[in-house]
Amino acid sequence: MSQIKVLIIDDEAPARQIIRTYLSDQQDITILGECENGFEGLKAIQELQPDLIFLDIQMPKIDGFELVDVLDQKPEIIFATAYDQYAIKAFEMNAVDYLLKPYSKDRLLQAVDKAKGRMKTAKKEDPIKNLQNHLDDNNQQLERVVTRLGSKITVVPVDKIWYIEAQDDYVMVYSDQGNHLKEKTMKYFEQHLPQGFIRIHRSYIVNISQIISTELYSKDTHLVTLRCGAKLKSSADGYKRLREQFK
Amino acid sequence: MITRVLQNKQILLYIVLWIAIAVVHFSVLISFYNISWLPAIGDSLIFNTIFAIIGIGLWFAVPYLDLSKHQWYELLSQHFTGLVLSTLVWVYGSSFILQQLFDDRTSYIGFLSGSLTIRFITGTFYYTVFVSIMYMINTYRQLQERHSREAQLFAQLKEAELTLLRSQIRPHFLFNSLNSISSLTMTDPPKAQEMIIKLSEFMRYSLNFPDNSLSTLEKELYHIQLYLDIEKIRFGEKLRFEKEVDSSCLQIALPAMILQPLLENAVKYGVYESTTVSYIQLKVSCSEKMLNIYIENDFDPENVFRKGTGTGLRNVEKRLQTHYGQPGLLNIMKKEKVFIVEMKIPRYVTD
Repeated sequence: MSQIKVLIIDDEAPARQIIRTYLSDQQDITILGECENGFEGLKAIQELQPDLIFLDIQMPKIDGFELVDVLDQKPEIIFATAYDQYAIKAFEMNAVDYLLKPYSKDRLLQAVDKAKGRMKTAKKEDPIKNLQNHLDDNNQQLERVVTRLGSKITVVPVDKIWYIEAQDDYVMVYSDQGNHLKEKTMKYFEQHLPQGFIRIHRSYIVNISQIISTELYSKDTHLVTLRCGAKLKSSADGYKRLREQFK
Repeated sequence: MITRVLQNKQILLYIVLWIAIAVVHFSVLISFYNISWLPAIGDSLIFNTIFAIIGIGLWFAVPYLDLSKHQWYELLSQHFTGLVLSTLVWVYGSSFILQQLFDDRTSYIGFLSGSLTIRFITGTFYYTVFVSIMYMINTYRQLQERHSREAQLFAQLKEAELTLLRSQIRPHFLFNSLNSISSLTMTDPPKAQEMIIKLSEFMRYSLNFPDNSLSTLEKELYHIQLYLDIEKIRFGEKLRFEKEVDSSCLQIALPAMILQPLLENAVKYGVYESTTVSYIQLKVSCSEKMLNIYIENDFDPENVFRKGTGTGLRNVEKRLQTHYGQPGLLNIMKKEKVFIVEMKIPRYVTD
């Protein structure tokens, strides 16, 4: 069997070291490197193309989930986390495995075996896609949106978002920090953005604090003007939702 | 309810009240009705003693006629019956006794039989006033009971809240530390042992303190050092800690486990959220009246924090307020890239 290329992403040195130590006698595994945070992690994944990553969840700036969310090359992932019911819930179904810190060598090797099994069989389903969908199903409100362009990650706090526009399979997030493409559905944002965001049209969700004025455009359409200068059309239903917000 | 039994102090008050009424009664008989001394004393004594006894009976009856548990017409009919019975017993009973006592004093007996109407009016007045006062006392007591129950509940709730908060923060810290130890057992066993001892000492201190117990600055500093040593093993060079402590302050008393949450906060929003070196600075000084604690940590204002921000600090603030009974002992400031917490501990607790 060919070598399995492994990358370790964790912000704590001893936590990275333990994976290294546990894997040191495994002939078929090559450790490509270690990363201290999600930004380094993304770069390393893009450059080194690992087969398998060990990923911590709690990390500075962007967490493990948010990193997974912006990946488009999808290695197998084993999460390692100290205590996280959220993680447990999320991974029971789709992740290769999750390890609860502290874990034994046997437990880690068991997870690696699972990953090997998955790598051998043709992937019938994309585990990350599934994982993402699963994560998307929960009701947690968004506090920030993590986007990626090339190897650059931008973290946009939701209150800095002006509006969101549907663009085929993506959405464009317009904010103080520029325009960022995100591979998510409008429905996802509609469900997860906090109060203060209204879907005014099939193609637009706006931050109502950005609205300057609305005017009648045609029989059923209104034109909503935002602080940033954008003029967006609202549908009859969307305008009704907007009106309700101001009642 | 047995708790309604009159307490000694209240009995005394009740007796004093009736003596006062009896004196007024006596004076009125002497000065307005020209009754001679002896029958006036007898009249006052008999009438007022009997009503005082009826009054005690009423005191025990009132709690069974609770305002909130009965309809108004029930209460009204009960009290009307009570009023009629009480005044009849009072007026005729007293008159009967007095007639036996003073049957040789015709002028007084004449006055007595002519005064029945005014006696009934007085009886009605007494009854109404007494029952009203009793209701007032009862209501006041119920209110107090409710207050103390509420206060108790509130304290329990706060305790539960605190426990919850503690249990939310600790597991992350604990399990991550255990993971570090697990790693060190293979790479550096002596350091692993050192960390186990530090972690145990730290956990023992933080889990076992009663909420209001006092500690000294020296002990508090020792335990935050344990905490930071553990975090330092996890985060290495990323965590830089400096302290400047005036050694003359070390024996000052302060609430136990009040410093650690502040450092934990600094680590959580500084080191945990930083991709580079993050400084934490602690300065302690003291004056005659105050112990001043100053904690500064680097932080990135662009970080978007998850919910629960600041609960640790709010807790410290609440504890300070309950402990010292004055607000404003904790000051929180955000400057460009530093987060500052200033805590003042009064050196003398006025209790």
